[in-house]
Amino acid sequence: MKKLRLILGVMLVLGIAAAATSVAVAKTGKTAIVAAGPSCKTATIGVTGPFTGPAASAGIDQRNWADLFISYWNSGKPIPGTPASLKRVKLKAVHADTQLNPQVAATVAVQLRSNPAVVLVNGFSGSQENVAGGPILRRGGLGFVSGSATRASLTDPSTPDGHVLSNGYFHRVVPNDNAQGNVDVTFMEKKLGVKSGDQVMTVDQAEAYSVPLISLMTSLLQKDGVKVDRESQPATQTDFTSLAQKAVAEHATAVAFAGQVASNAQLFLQQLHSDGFNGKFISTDGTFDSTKFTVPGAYISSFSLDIHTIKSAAPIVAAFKKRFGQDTISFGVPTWVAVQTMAHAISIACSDGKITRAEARRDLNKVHLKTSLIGRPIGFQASGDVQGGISFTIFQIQGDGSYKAVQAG
Amino acid sequence: MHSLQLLGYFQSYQLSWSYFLDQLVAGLTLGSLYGLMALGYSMVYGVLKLLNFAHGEVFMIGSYIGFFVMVTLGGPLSPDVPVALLIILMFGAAMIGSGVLGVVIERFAYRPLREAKAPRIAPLISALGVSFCLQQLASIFFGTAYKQYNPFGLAGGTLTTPWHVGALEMSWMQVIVILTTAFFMLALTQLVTRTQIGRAMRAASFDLEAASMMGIDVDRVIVFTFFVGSALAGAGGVMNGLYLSNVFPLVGFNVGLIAFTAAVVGGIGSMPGAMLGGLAIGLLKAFAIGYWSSAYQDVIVFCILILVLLIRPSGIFGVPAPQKV
Repeated sequence: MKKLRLILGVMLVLGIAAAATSVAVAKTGKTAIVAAGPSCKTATIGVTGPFTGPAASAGIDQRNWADLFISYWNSGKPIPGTPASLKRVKLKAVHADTQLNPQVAATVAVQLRSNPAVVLVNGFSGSQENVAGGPILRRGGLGFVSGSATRASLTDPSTPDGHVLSNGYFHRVVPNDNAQGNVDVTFMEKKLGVKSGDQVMTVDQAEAYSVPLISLMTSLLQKDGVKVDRESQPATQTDFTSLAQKAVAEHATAVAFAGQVASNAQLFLQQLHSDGFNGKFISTDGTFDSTKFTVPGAYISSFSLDIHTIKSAAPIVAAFKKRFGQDTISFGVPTWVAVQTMAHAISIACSDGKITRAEARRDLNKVHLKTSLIGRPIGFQASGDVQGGISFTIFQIQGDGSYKAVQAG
Repeated sequence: MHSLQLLGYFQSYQLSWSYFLDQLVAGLTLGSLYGLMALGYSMVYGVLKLLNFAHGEVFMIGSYIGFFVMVTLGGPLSPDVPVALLIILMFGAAMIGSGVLGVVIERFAYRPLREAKAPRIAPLISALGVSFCLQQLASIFFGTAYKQYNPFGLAGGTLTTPWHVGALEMSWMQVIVILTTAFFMLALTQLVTRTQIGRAMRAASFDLEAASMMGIDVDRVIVFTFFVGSALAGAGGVMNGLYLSNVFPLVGFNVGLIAFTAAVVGGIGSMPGAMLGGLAIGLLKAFAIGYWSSAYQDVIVFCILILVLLIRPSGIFGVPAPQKV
């Protein structure tokens, strides 16, 4: 009888494992392929992002833009910012899901570093993922270009993060949080009517992304004479009742929220409204998700300008819609630009028919796009920060839950 | 500037009765959730002296079951059945599903170790293993994205719209959470004190071996304890979703840690203690946020709890273990 139980138990565990594996494979639709070394015939790049997890809709948008760029690039279609004379080296993507989780990002970094074919990496999406996985990519000699990591310290060599990452390895095509904090506070003061003597509540989610951003916003507001109630609540604690009551009781004219879980912004604002809050609510790019954060009237800042407003991008946006069966939420647009800089660097490095990771990484700094999908020139500063590009756009959530740009970046 | 500085002062609004009552209600609601969870920890510990760390994941599965029942029946905005029936069905399905899951966990993860007379550390590791397995399986099968109950859309938002009686402001959702918890607490008390199985549970809790020698089917008692404790966790999962909207694979782990603390502070093994511990933590959290800052909520809560344990190491209602010499 005991043996029978043991056999049944083992069968149950194996069954669950098999089912789990089949689901995981079905979700990715791909199996790992062991690749040879770097090649100028078809260069391999890593494309990372949170394809599952709390930020999946943003991550999938990023992956779709990366895939669309690669299909345009490989098929020789015209691409804004890519001269017709440039000899394109075909690209192949290795997708890796980081789940917006630093531990997973570190594992992904080890996989990409160990794959000798990979010459550059697109990512990581989250700042905390770059802190965890970036040093591993660096040890493998890999350069990486993020389309969404905005934490200011990543490119500041005077900080521990920047000391490790900003030395020619980490690059980004989006502005950093110093820019976001400034844009948000300016918008609050100039457009939302927040003025000296007003009460404002600022709330972070006790993690690497939101704490420095909210700290900056708090100090900027205080410098302008605004009374700030600085709060902090971990993302996994979703009871905002007491905070909402406090904001109402202290007559906050505005609440600024930074986090990476859009449904937390949704819940917080719903609880605020439920308690009678009638001030303004602004949240940061980490909550940019039109499927999870849909309370009308709220403002969201994002580096991802509304691509629908750029006429020259219309055919590509239409192609996106046709290929993926859904419209873009705009969050992934900078990822197109990030992969484009990588494609250019690879093509430059391959001008002699050979490529190494070090060459590809160095040649990222030689990339200067005169224009891009977002209608702006793109290049990199020595720190890895973007040169040119966009600033933060402010969106407002409409009655139907869609996001409308109310202040261009 | 924090609304309340370390050595400081209160803002005028913080001295009003209505604000105090707001925090009281928020704390009672949150504390009810913790208390309901803590009951499960306490019941299992009372009978088996086992820290069932998988209890939080049973809560999480219950929350998912409630969510899927709601979605299957049309979702919060346009349910196919009356809202009251929808909520009852969500509770029913979650309690049965979680109860069965608890029994399965006991049967396959704990009982073999008990029968093999494994050292006490073994079931603890087994419990942690089950906890992580369930988290991972939930991530794989349900996805890691937060799913939203959207209680603000349920019944046209009437359940979350606050109403006033004097200085008191409450929503029906808070009433549901507090009253449902009170109902379960009373029902459990009646079950334990007035029924044969309840007496058997108390006997097993007092001395498992002696209870067995007195003819009590202790395996049956243990299965029943797991079923009831897990069903309560399932109910807690639904209440958590209805009140706080979000359900995700780690939701039970976080709530479970706090509920476990509540059970220890209340006196693990004591049902009133578990409920009191839960309410105490909920209230401390609410008042810490309301009168100081959310950034310090856990510092304040856990400092006070450590102080309580220093004064009463067995917890508020706990009985010190007799020293055998």
